[in-house]
Amino acid sequence: MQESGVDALIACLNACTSAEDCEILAGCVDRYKETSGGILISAAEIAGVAIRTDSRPLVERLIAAVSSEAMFDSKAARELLPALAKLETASAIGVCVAVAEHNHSSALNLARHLESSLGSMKPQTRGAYLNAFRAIVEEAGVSLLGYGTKQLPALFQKAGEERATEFVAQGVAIAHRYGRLAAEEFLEQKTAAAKGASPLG
Amino acid sequence: MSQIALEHVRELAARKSKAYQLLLALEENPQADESCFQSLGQIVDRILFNEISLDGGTLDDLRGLVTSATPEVESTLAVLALALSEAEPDRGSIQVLLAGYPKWLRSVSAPRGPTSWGFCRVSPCI
Repeated sequence: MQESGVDALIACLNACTSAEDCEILAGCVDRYKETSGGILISAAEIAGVAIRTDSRPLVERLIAAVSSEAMFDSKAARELLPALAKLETASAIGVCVAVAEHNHSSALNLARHLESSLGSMKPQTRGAYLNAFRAIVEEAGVSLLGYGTKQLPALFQKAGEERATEFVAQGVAIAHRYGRLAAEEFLEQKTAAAKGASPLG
Repeated sequence: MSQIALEHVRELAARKSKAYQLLLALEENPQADESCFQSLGQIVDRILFNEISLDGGTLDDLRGLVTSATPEVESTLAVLALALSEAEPDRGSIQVLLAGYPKWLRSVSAPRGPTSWGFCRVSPCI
């Protein structure tokens, strides 16, 4: 690791306001100690974002979803943490980590293109959209990634966060009870019932 | 579940796949809890994903299984969901499981004689 990398790591540690947070950040960095300097710094930056935004469980999920062992076998896994570190918010990182629990390549692709999906969304709408997107991935897996990056942002921008969130919640409940494919059909409004429930219907 | 969700599934059962009739049948079962729906949802997903067509007899047998108002419905569906996940991606094995599992359950729960080996004749994959 170069001198600037060490400085960056120290800066991340110095930003922690409690011993517990320092431990979380150091623990995250430690899990990737056998990888590269760039990955270490990225791990520290991601942990820093999680701590600052009170999203500490995200660190554990990251470590479980993208192990250092996986990085030896997969280029996508190696490139994933630096791509995640470029995202601005814990919500955005959270969506990608949820995807990484299923597939590292898909998570990397999403991390590189998520900012463009956010477009000109207001910050509050962005948060609601990202939370809804993560709920979909957690319940229905990665088959709705295309929906999440294309139709879902449009839904939030046109219908507003409250009505869009309500519609997505219905889709997630359908995924939970009736399966992933039933949820896909609902969110993509393939039935009259779904069209009727959609805020854009 | 909301009326919208139920109506959605009714439409899917009418237009997309008869497998969704099983989820509607499970709604009528007072013994069915959330885990039953999760297992059956996975089963239906695998039926659709692997493009398995259910003939009338198999559908009726599976319907009998999901409407069985006994506490065993939960474990029965969980076992079938697990077995189907192990059988993937072999469509033949999936088909055999879907057709043979209800028959096997009937044979082992019948009061007479040890007939559980019958399923081995139905499904060599188990």
